[in-house]
Amino acid sequence: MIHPGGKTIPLKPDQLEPRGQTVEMMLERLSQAVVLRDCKTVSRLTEKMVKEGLDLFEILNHGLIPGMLEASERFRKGEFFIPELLMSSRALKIGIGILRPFIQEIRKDVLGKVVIGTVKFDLHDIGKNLVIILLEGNGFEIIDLGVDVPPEKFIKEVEKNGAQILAMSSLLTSTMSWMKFTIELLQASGMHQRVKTMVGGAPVTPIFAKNIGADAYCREATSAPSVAKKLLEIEANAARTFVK
Amino acid sequence: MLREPLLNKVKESPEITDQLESFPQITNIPLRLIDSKGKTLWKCNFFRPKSNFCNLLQSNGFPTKSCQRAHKEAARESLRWGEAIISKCCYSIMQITAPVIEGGKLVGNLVASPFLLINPSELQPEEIVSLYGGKIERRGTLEKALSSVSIVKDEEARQAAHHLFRLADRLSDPDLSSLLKVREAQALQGKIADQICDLKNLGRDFTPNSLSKLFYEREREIVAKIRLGDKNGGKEILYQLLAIILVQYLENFELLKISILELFIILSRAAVEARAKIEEMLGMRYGFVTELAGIKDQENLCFWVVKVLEKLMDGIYQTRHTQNYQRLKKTYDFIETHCSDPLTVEQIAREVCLSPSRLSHIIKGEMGITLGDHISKVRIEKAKTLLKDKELSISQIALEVGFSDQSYFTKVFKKIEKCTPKAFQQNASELTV
Repeated sequence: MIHPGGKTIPLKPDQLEPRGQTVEMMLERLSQAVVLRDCKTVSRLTEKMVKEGLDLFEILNHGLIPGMLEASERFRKGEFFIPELLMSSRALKIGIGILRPFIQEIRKDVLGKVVIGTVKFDLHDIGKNLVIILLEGNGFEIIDLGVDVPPEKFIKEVEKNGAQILAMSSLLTSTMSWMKFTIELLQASGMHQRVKTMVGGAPVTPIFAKNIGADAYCREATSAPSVAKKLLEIEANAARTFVK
Repeated sequence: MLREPLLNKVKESPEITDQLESFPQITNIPLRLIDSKGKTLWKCNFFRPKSNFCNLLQSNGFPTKSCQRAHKEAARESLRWGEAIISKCCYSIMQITAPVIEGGKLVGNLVASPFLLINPSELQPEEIVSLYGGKIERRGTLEKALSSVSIVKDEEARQAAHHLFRLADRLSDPDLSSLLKVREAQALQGKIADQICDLKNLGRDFTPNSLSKLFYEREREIVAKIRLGDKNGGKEILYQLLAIILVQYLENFELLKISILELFIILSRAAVEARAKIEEMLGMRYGFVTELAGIKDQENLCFWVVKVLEKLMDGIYQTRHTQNYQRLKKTYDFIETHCSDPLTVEQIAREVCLSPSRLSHIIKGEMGITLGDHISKVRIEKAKTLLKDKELSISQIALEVGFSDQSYFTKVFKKIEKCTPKAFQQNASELTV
């Protein structure tokens, strides 16, 4: 298929389906398809792997997500621009759309409720969206407040939904202090006893997280599920973790 | 009736009308000029008269209200990022928006839409369902409308966005240079965030001790870059320095400001050493310090120090003979990339199209050191980086940076650095432990 992006080189059918390919190779192929914005290959490979009985979280965490991480890394380096990124995330969504019904089938109990958003004056949300996908896949219920969220809104939504976790991300040093203000507001509201906070983002450091009184620091999107489980003291073996 | 100076501007200037009309021809995307309330003032899609996606949908019962909201959101984002924004319009079709500003206020938007990044036949069933809002009777209309929309490759969309921003710049009064500053400041914040991210990836523990060691290392590097007149190299290290400062003092603005002031002193001293004109420097420094006193937030502080570095580096080269500057730069770039080779004055002179004696004269006049001295400096700077790697022997490094024997290398190193390479290596390894 020639993708409208114009960069995908059409592969011959036998190149696409080499005989005897290993699971690792298929996952690698899937993640490359996300990077190359090749939606058809993404949906075909995902369906194939589901049919072959591969672990759903394996497909998500080692196939689809690494592809999106690479796309966002390329965006960071200036190799990808908004159109490419939009198309990569479309490919990711298509893959997840295929996995979703199967994941919902095996995971009926909700581990916890998470209110998540990018802090005020920060419009980046690639990392945050990945965290949402991972948390949802691991059985959390997500209330996504989107980007540019003021502290008052965070607190209001936490209270309204009875969430156990408040997760915030920031990608600019200039917006990081809004995390601090949000946590301060949470403490002032008296909810900090039962609501745990976790923070993350490129410029956020463990020291900063500690200084502002956050309960947990998340180094990268992929570690979000295990961090969230730890916060809620859910035993690791009770809930399956596939974090590298 | 609304006052519409914006529309008059388009109508009165054939040049602007021409440029606006050529946009759809070049990009294949219809173009509209809307005011800040979302009302269409002017549009152009004559290249394909039947293409009227929005009208077709709206006359067949699709909602109209969210259209304005999508434009408003895109305009807000484009103001914040200082560039044309590619986003999805209310019908999930692609649009590009660029703001038109008058006297610091948003008066309208240039909107290029609709277009698709992929062929409609490749849309997934669920995407189509979301497009017609689940109402099956609308499906036929949608498919008809979609077939009239142009498909634009992602790279072309990017170029169209650049093009649109330039058009908006022409329409704005004053132009969008204030937005360019916003873009630059945002890009800087992004770079600093990247550097902090890299620091984390290096597995650095953020103890004050390890950070100040790292700062000291980078500080020496940036001084070396300024002396060599390497503007871009200097900037890269400045981003790292800013990252180290921000990790430590982000929550304390006073300490942050003091650290930036210290950094400024280091930079300006290095510039003086690199033979920036002293009288000019004094005036410049005074201006800088006054500016610094008025800065009230972190973002502007970082932006300011980067601008200072740029101006200082420009000051080093400010000479009456601007043509010499180009030659100097070319000479320096050549030496930088070829310093491991045995270089001769004749060879470099050939490269920059000057006679050897003329080249030597210019270098001496502008920089106050001989060409040979400069080459030695560049080589020693390279050697210093290599010396930090303990795997390499001194003789290997000497050869690597273009010295024919070790004893001569040691002699030159001692002259410039006031210590032997061996001592430097030991010192460096102590620092990095």
